[in-house]
This record gives sequence, structure tokens and C-alpha cells, in this order.
Amino acid sequence: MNNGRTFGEPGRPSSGGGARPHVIYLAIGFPPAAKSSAYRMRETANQFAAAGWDVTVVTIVDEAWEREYGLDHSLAEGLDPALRVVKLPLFREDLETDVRAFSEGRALAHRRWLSNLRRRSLSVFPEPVFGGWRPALEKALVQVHREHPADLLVTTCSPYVNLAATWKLWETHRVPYVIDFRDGWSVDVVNDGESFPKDSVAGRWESKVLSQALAVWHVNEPISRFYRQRYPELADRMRIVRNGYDAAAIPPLAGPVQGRPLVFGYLGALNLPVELLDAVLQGWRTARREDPLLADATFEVRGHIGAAWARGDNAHAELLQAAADDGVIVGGSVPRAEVPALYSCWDAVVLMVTGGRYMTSGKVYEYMATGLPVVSAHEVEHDASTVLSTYPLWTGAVGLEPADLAGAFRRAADLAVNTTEADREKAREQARQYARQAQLVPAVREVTGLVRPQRAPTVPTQSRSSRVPTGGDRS
Amino acid sequence: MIEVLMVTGNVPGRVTVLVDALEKFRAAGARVRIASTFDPELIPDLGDLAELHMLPVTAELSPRLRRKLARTSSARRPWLRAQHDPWVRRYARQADVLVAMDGRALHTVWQLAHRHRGADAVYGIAPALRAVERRSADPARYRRRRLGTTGPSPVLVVSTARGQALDTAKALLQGVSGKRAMRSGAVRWFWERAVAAPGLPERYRAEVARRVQTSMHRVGYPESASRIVAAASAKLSDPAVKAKLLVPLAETVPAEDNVSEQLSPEVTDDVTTITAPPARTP
Repeated sequence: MNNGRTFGEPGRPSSGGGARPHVIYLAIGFPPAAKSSAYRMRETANQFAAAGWDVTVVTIVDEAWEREYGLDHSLAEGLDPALRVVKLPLFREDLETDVRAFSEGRALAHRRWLSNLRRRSLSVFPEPVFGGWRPALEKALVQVHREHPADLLVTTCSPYVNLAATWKLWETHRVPYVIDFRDGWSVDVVNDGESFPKDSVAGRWESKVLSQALAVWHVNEPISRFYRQRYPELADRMRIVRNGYDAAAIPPLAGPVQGRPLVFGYLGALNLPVELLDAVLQGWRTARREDPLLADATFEVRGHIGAAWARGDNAHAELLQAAADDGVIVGGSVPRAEVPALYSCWDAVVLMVTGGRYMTSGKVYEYMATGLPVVSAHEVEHDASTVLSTYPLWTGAVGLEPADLAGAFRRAADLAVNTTEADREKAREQARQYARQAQLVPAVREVTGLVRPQRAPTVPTQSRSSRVPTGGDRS
Repeated sequence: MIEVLMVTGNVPGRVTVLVDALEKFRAAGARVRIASTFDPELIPDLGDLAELHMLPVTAELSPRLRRKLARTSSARRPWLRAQHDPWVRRYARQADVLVAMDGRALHTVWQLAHRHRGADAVYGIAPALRAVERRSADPARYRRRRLGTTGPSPVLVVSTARGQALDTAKALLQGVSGKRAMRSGAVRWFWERAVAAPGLPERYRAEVARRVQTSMHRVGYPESASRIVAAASAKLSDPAVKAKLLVPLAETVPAEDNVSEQLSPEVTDDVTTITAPPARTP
């Protein structure tokens, strides 16, 4: 996988032969940020620590997340105490809501100010929102490396401006790096295509940084295939590291529902198209009207709705509130520690996901692991369909027509009342292959073997975040 | 009681969200007032969740303010209307939280925020709710803060001085580039040189040249007008800016042959290039 290149050559600073190797993990969105990517980041950092690395995580200050989706301190509880976390004072200026912090020009012409900000960011790095962070990130990585020489840099995107800092550390100190590319950059996972050509500014950045990467991780096969075809010369460095689910988030197994109204649930940030949500709510209304099993059923939607000034005040919020009479309940976000209890109150889950064949989402794995019936509300040709295809309590991918979604709700209701505990255990069994630990351990072991061959662990390691709390998970 | 003053420049599109938020404000112990730039009748019934007030319309303003309103940009107009409104002044003074409900209300809230520094000033309903919750949780802390933050902020002083300087400069420019001034040969001579002066930003060069040449036309000096256009366009390199100067001129050319004859060959070429229909692509 390293294509004949060697690491730890003379002249390159490193942690030294006898010491624990040092990895810098550039992970903007690291806990306690209340972001869906935080779970993967937590497990990655923990796995490196468990594999014998000194880990320095580089992220941004907690206050910066207040502007977006806020903080979830329960996420930080599963972090390995040996991790060192460096928090940079970087903020998204576009999400500022303190009017007194605005310039008069911004107060007078907010949209023009935003578009100028994006233009300025793009002039620094080809990413409209985060491009302006490039100098600070570059400086921070070099500084961290000078203080404690790194043997490896693991960079996770987005934001893609992280690639600039990664390249800087490679150029100046030849620190080998792994890119956890997750959803990729040049692949448009929402609209199923290419985001930008290879000869664009972003394309040149991507080609350049990938060309020297020790390994490149993606979250699913379609994205990995896209990259293997785009960069055939790098195909042997591409790895699929699925998002998976945290065992600690899974509730105890439940039996069929009897003698009470059904509860459907959705958990996740509502950053999906309004049309998709509208179609789901229409389907829900129809199903509830037509199926006696659903007559008194409720549909609980939990998660962040909008950010900054639009938090709780966007078209999604309007649609959900208008559906209150149809048993739709909006409950806001849920701290990670309370997720198992939330799932245990639900009888079926609704998987609303945008995108198509390149999109999987993280929640599909967690939904499967609950052992609950899953209603799919996404395109038929979607990677979530591939993952769910073997899950016995799936209502199938029916597309986004409200009438078809109504049918899916009815099938899920039927499954909720008619499946036994044994059926659910069987369903959970299907999900087990997607435990986050099972996804990350081999990837971390492989990278460790490349950088420090003599130190690669031979058996999977259980990290702190993967440990199952007593009585919490019977899967 | 926590006092909340919201300003809105658009009719709220999501009324159920607004009603839900207003109920949360009430539950958190806040009294809400909403100042709008439009007729509050356009806001669907909010019951007694908020007191509504419309900023004074043009007819209610003093002649001086009306003139100022006519001259000012649309972004500044809501503040001009709010500035001398006794209702706004009174409740802004009392407010603990000032809220811009949309982008059009931002400048008014920005102005109020720098005059009433004891209040939180936020953009959006959710940040406003958080500010109310913070105050509700620790009222003593905010009472102390209010004492130390009286009077307008230095930012406002600078902004006001800058605005006045700009207003004066604008009025001066309007005077010396208007029709009356163009009757003077000395003024026309001055402008022919001024629009070609080095170092002038392109956008301003084109804007000034367009205004001056229009005034010259109107008072019957097409030759001078043509020379203005020629002098300015020779200094413009951005085709978009050049088009902004030449297209209006080109539109007047067919109706005024004498103007066409007065255009220099370079300017005529530019006008032809810019106004030609785009080439068809296969």
C-alpha cells in the first residue's frame, strides 16, 4: 500500500524509535461538537490510542460549535483520557448571530457581505465557507509537530481546507498522512456526479494531496469506486471504512408492541431537502388515516433543525409544526447518552436521507442495530438500500412518492406488532458486521503497520467508546 | 419581566414557527414587542403574544426626514423611519434583548444595539430565546452589566461621522454634476479632466461619467457629453463596468442622430461591440 515509499527516513523528525509513536489527528467536528461526524472521530482517536499511539487531536474551540449545532458533552465521556486535544480559536463568521459583532456594512447588506466572505475564502483555498481557515490550520499543525514530532497525520474531511494544512506538514516536515475522506470531495454525493473537474483549482488540490497519501478512507464502496476510477494509480491505497454504529447507542431488545399506540421515530439533523420531508409527512398522514394500526400513532422527530439565525426557524420547522395534528412531535436534539433510552421508546424508525447511490448516511447502521422496523424515505438507487438489503425488518426502498411511503409506513406498523423478539435478534445480527469498532480496527492496524511495522497490534482492540455499558446492549 | 424588542422587515413566512417561539418567550418570562416596516395587519393573528407596531410611513415623517429618505439607500431606510419614532425609542431603551428577525431588520437592530449597549442584540429567533433564557437564569448579572454599558458605542460615533461625511460628499457631487452646474463652461472643462483622472476606481469613474454626460445632454452640450464618455471609457478596463456606461448611451443613440455623429470612432466601436447580439453557438 505504500508503493515502495519508506517512512521514518533520516532527517525527518519523529517520536524516536523507542517512544510511543505520535499521530496528529486533524478532526474538526471532534467531540463535544454535536455533529454526526463526531462519533467516527471519537472512535478513530480512541482506536489509535488503543493501538499504542500518542494522539493529539486538532479541532476548534467549543464556542465555535454553539453557532452551528451546539455541543453534546456526553460524547466526550467516551474519549480515551490519554488523548491530547488542541482547540483552535476558529469560528464560522457566517454563522455569527451577535448583531453587535457585525460591521455596519454587514448589517446593511448581509447577503452581499456573505458572498464577499465566500469570495475571500475561495481566494485562500477553494472551499467557500472554510477556505479562510487555511493559514491558521497550517500554522497550528506545524506548531503541534514542532512541539511533539509526529510519525503520522490523520486528516478527516470535511472541511476540505484540512487538506491544505496536511500538505503543508508534508511539504515542510514530510510527515506521512492518511486522509479519512469519508464522503470524498470531487464526488457529489447529493446529486450523483462530479463536484468539480480534475483541472479545476479544487481538482488540482485533491490530486496533489491524494498523490502522497499513505491511505485514503471512504465511507462506502460507490464513493471508493468513484475515486479508484478517477485516480487509478492510487487505487491500491483506497480503503472502505464504513461509519458503522456505536454499540453503546443501542437499546435493549424489545418484543412486539401490544395494547398501545405505535411510536415512529427519526433521529438526526434535519438537513435534507424540504420536498423529501414534505413527502414523508404526506405519506405519514395518508397511512395514519387509512390504517387502524396507525390511527393513534405518533411520529417523533428528534435532532437539530437549522443553524445560527435559522435554528428552529426554517421551512422544515414550519412543515413539522403544521403536522402536529397528525401526531408529529418535534423534540429537539438528544444528547448521545440518552439515545438508547430514546430508541427504546420507539417501535419503528424512519430513515430520511438525501442523495443517491453515493450516499449511505451514518444512521442507517444505527437504525439496523436497533432491531426495529425501518421505513426508508430516500431514492431507490441509494447506498442505504444496499446496506439494508439483507435486513429482514426493512420495508424496502419505495422512492419518494407519498402514496408509496404511506405503504411503507403501513408495512412497518405491521412489522412492529407482528415480529417476535427472535425476529428482532435476527435483524440485529445483520447489523453486527457494521459495528464501528469492526470498521476502524483493521484500518488503524493497517496504517500502524505501515508507519511502525514492529508496533502493529495483531488483535482488535476495544476502545473506550466501544465498550458496552452493563445491561445497555444485548446485541 | 424580560423585555424583548423584535424588528422585522419582511412579513414572517412561517407563522406557526413564530407563534411557537412567542409562546416559548412568554413561558421564559419575556414580554415581546415587534416593530415592522410594513402594515402589521399583514402578520397573521398573534393573539396577545406580542404587541405589534408599524414604523412611521413617509407621510408621517418631517419634511427633512422625507428628503433624506428619498436620497438614502433602501437598506438604510428602515432605520431612518425608526430613529425618531417615540415608540421605538421608548421600548428600545427598555429592551433587554433586541432581535433582528430577518436581513432587512439587521441595520435597524445594529443601530439600536450600539445605542443601548446593555441589551443583547441578536439575529434570529433561536438566539433571542437563548439570550432570554440566559437572562432569566441569572438576572442579577445582567443588572450589573447594564450599569457599565450606558451611552452609544464608539463604533456608532465613527459610523455616524462617516455617514455624515458621505452624505455631504454625495450632496456636493450631486450639486456640481447637476444640470445647473453644466451650464458653466468651466465646470464642463473640469469634468472632462476629472473623469479621466488617474487612480479613480472604475465603478465610480463610470458612475460619475454617466451622471455628468446625462446632465450635459439635458442642458444641450452633446459634444461635451461625448467627450466625457470618450475620456472615461478610455480609462475603463472592465467590460462590465464599461457596458454600464455605454449601454444607456447606446440606447439613446438612434433617437438622437446628432449625438451619434458626435461620438468618437473608439466610443462608437465600443458601443457597437457591447450592444451587438451575442453570436449563436452551434
